[in-house]
Amino acid sequence: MINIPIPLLVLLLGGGVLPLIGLMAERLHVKWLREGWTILIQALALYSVYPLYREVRAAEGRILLKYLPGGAPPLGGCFEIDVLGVYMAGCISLLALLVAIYSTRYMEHEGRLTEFYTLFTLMNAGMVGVAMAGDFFTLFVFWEMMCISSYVLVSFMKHRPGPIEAGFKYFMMSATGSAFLLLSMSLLYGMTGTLNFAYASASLKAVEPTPWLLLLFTTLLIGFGIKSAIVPFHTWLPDAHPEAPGPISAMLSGIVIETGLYALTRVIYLTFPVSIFKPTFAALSVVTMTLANILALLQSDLKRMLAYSSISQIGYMLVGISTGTAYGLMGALLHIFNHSLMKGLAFLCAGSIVHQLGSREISEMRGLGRRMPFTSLSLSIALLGLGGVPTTNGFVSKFILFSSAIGAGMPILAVIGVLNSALSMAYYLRVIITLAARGEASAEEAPAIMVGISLLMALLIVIFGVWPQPVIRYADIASKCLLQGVGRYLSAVMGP
Amino acid sequence: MSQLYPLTQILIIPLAATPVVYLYARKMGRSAGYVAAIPLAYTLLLLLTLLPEAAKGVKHLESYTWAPSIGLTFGLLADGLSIWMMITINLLALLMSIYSVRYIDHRVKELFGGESPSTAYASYYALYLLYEVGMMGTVMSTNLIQFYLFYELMLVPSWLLINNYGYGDRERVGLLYFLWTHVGAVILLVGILSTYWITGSFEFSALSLIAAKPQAPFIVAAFLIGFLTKMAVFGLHLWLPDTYTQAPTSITALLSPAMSGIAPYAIVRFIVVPMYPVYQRFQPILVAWALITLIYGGLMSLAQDDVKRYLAYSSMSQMGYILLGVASMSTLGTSGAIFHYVSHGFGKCILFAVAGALLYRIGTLSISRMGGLADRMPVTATLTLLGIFTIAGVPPTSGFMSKWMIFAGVFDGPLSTSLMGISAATVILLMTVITIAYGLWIVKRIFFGPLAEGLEMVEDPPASMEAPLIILAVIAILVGLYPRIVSDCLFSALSALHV
Repeated sequence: MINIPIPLLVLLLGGGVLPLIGLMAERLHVKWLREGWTILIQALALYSVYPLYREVRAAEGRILLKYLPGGAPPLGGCFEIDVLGVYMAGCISLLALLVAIYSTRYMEHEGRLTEFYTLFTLMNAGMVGVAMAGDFFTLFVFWEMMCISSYVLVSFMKHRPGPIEAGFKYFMMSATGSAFLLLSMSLLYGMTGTLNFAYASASLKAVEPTPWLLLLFTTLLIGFGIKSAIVPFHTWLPDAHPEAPGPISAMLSGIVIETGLYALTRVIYLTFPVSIFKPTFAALSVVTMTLANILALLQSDLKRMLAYSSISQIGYMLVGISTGTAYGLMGALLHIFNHSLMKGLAFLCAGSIVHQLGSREISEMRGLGRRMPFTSLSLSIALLGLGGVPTTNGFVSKFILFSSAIGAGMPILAVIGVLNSALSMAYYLRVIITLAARGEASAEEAPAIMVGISLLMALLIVIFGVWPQPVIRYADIASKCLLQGVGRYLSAVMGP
Repeated sequence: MSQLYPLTQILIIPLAATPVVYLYARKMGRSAGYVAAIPLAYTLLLLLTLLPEAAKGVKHLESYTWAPSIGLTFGLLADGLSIWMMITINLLALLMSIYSVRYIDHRVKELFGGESPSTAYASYYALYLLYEVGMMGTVMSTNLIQFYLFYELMLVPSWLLINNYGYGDRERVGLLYFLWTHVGAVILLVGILSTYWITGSFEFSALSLIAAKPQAPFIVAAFLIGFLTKMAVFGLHLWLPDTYTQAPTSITALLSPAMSGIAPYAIVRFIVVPMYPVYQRFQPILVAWALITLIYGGLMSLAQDDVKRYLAYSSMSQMGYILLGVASMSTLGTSGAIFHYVSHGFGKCILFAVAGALLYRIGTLSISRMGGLADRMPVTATLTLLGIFTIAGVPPTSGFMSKWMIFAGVFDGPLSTSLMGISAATVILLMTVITIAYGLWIVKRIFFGPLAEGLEMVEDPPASMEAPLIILAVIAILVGLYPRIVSDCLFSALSALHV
């Protein structure tokens, strides 16, 4: 029997069956069949995350091991599920479920929907797989599953040249990133004779840095960095994210690039001592947030502006990751969850606006606040959250991130961070001002399902902003399990 | 009363009333201002019940757990230092919501023409209440993150109010206002986060632990930059004139008297009381800065032709007085600063509201196009004079008492032992002349002399705009006649500073 964690199994099987379901739906003219199936799959995946969490909590050392056929580590592939992986799977499935429901109306007039939903489900399966992979090889397989699905999804609207061009650029850059990952895999294998994280960690963690090790570090950074759009590897993102269909932009910005960041964090934290990556990450975070914020200020296209804002948010997360403390990691993980809600919502609302108005130019949205009040309200809440205004969840995680920088002895980084955050308000407010202004934009409010999802997410943003404790609790456990659980991790895999 | 959680009610009730007021305004339009006044009147009553205790130095505290794993509690505090801040904010918000009924009706009709959508009223009053909650929450906070939360929470609604209902290029001005104060606030946040890593707590009570640490001056500097931006002292004031001028007048009447004064309160609460020795090192800078602000604001206001711009610079100059009181480092001066916040709140609120009334009746704020209005608008003229007296410190208004306390503090306190202290005191005494001068001169230009052209038919504003101002003027005089109700509270909280 193939030993696969339940959420992943659900997504893989569900995604695999989707073409058949789609065929049935088309032949038998059953409306909503494949949409309903997709939603069901996503809901089941989300639902099965909690039992998995219970299972992980009950397991010895809080690590659940599932070996793939082909032998045990150090050679065979495996899943190593800890609270961190479950946390990521939860973030992914929650956003995916919301986006799936939203897509049913957003995409209803498009063709090739079976393709769309299949790719969507498989992309999520890829991400959940990345979150739970226990060795580099498994990670890479799911990584590519996520990447390839997303290439096609970005250029899904293939009747226009923009998405094709953006998709191609994305594909070229991301494939280069994957090539670097392969290179780093071969280096890792050459140095340690294994691809298993635990074994690699055991042999590398305490080693003095050698040129080869630094090469490994660099290739890893480039490989994962391209996917997570760390400046200077970000150039594909401002093209790809705006050109994708609305729900896909929400997924890409909301969780896909964060999955890249998660993978980077996981591998780097397991295999390198903090002192090696701390200055690099701190410098990258400064460059990422500053450059992205300045560029975002110059955009006139709403989705493109949001894309740059995603890059800057990656910069904030890097602040937390660069600290090397559990507190900073907790902030980064919390920000991944919060950002998935905020940026997901922002892109969904932008999608609704594009859907109704037919334009992405901010200047053409004057007066939209009166025509599409609920979408505008949700978008405003999402943008205020992204700017880190208190009572939204964005504030809670940002304050932990900047606080962690001070705690790790990098007050300058914290100052640069908060100033960036303050600067970023300028472009968020510009959108809100445009929506609130009086103007001629004529559009009707989006369909009920789309509005409903937007309002629900806006509500979640405020609820988790006022009462962050539940998410903080899980993020806290997850961060500790990455940082302090290395020993447990090793002993779970390699035996005592 | 204490078992009824009055402070929680003060925070929750206006918040809970927000949707009610919103929906009411959607149906009924402008009269929602009266509905918005109901919860504010109730909370004011609750505050008054707490007053006798606070005067005796009793602290009223309500606290809840919030997010324990990151060290957050949610506490609400009323003591001698904060009670009058809260009363002032609440009173002004209450009276201005009644004032807004006619005023914002006028503004909305100007903006939208005849159709004037009911959503415009609805969002005005909803944001208005949120703004009030933000200000009250800031003053009641017991820990730094909670303080920051409300500090920002009062920024967003006030920005939206300026952006949606302001005058001139209100969008640019709103952005200017938001970004300046936001940048100040995030620098404050860095200070707050640093204290957490030194003391392991966000509570105000932990701040005193920092005083002996080497990082203390940096933290105090970060706090000061944050607060002084909000206060708009010289150099950090670039947002102020435009914002106060272009904001809707009913909001300016809260921005200037109620909101910017929260900053000196926070300086007292965060820095002066817990970190007295560290603060001492900053004293010369603050005194000099206060004097520059005071003089610059005073002189600039002499040069203005627009009534609101004039008032904006005069606010800046008054903030100079308040800062000087805070910088005096004596019980009397610090109490005087908070007291002057109260008097300035009464006086400046009257004056801004009068500016709104002029705009309502005349349609312009240009002083050069006014004159001789005392015959046409006798009540407004009287109110203006009382407002000016309160600000300039003419007995028997409360302004006299508060300014007297500031001066006494400056002469009496540690400042007077140095040459700098003596010269500072001399300068401010001279400056009171300018304050009076710019105050009375504007009264002369607007209300006396020959009646300006085209103003023959002007009359006093409607009663709903006048009555709140009359109440304020009466309170200002009552407090001036019996200042102990304010000063007892302040002395009880600040007596520890006595030097």
